[in-house]
Amino acid sequence: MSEQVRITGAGQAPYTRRPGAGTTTAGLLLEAARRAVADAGLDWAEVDGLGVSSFTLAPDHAIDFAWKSGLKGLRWMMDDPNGGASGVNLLHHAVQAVRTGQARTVVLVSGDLMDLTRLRPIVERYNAVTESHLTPLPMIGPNPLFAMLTQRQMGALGLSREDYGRIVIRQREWAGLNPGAVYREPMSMEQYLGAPIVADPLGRFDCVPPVSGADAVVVTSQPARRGAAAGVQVRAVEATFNHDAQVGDGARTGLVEAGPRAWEAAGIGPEDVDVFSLYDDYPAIVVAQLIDLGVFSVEQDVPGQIAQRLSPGSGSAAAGALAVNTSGGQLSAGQAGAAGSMHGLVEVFRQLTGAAGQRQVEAARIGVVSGYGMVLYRYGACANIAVLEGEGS
Amino acid sequence: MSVVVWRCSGCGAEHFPRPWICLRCGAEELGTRRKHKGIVEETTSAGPQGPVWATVRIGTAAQQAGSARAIVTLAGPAPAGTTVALHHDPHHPELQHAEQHAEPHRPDAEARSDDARAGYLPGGDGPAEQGER
Repeated sequence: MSEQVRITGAGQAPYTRRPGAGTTTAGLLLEAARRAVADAGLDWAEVDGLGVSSFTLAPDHAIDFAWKSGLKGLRWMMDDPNGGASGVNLLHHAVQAVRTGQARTVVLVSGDLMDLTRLRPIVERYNAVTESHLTPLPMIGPNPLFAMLTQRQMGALGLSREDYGRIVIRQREWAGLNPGAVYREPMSMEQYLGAPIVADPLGRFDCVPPVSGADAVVVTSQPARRGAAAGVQVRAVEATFNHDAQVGDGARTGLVEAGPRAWEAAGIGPEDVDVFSLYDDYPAIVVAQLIDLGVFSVEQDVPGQIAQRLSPGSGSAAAGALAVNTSGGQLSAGQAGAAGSMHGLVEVFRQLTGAAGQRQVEAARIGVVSGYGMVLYRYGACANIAVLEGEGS
Repeated sequence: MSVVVWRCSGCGAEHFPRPWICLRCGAEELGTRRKHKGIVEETTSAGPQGPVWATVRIGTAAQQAGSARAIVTLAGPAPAGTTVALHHDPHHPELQHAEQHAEPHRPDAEARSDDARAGYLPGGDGPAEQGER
């Protein structure tokens, strides 16, 4: 990179299942964005770039948000509609904007006000193929699609529901240490296995709970103003779109292509990563990404790797234990619509700046964030990855 | 009793749903072919009262190489590997490209199950619950 690009602030509009009366999507986005700018030690007036991702901001767009929030004289702006991939996608573009001087200080924000009234039209008309080929079946939402994807993965890798349960329960343990997670109560394997089936083999705890909230980060070339450990350098961002044209089994994500490029660009490998935030709309996608990124090997026993490295009770200091989705992930913290795409970015920023509180991963220096989304027909078609490094390390 | 797939006039690749051009060779001319059968790859359901969905590889066993897949509802039990008949959904005749309703293919028509679509609506009042996305 010709100029070092860094993230210097992060903020959230707290996730909630039941937003208060009068809550709006724009209000959530504004709250998260202003908190991120304040976290970076900047003034709102210093922002000259804006990226927005939201399903429920419509009919407004980023420019409406800029107008109503008093962001004047912006030099760079974009809307990103790519769902679970939008956060890292926005980061990808913002890094280029800052690096090339198109903008100096960019705030990226994503989030949604979610309830069934708003949720249902979104999932019924997610794209034209969904509207014409899935909604009439009837199939409302992606759970059945990912249930079948999970079956394919189970068959290919010899996975059981208990293996996915270990991932879900481990994330719930992390959530118990995160005051911002919506679901924090400890979960047993019995509770996991006994939860109502949503779409066989997916139970309730395999599916993200919709919540309302927003996430935001500040991307800039300016040094962090909060101290030596307050910034996070962006070492690499890579993406893949429509990597297999929906002719595969969905158990390989686009990270199988973007991951190696990211490792090469960052000059490190998966073994160097201290903390991962992997897009977790379903635990099967966490497994798929761990394989695609080279963390897990399909040449070895995948259930054994899950048991060894992701089991409940395996603290970050345990030999070989992975710190994955330390916020609790979307599965326990909640999925605030498009904010799910930026949730991991905020969490890794906090981990790499020593601001993760009780869930802080000791000496975390390198973090990886992934995005995944845009179900075209059978599975998601967008995947991306950001490799970040704490500046205070 | 069939579904329409889109067949490339150039390379012969078959597609479903309909693409704008051939996704294999880029040719712009796509013809249609009717396919009467498919093979179930996976099924899932939301419980005994809900619909049963399936991924079906369109075509018979002899036609499977390179064939397209469709997401369908099943009118009755059909585990993976079952050959099913494919037909229009009578509830959505306007959906010319959504002829993916499937049912177990049995010589004895009386062996068919009733359409499992009736009465199913996911969700409900109040905030969405985990699993209701």
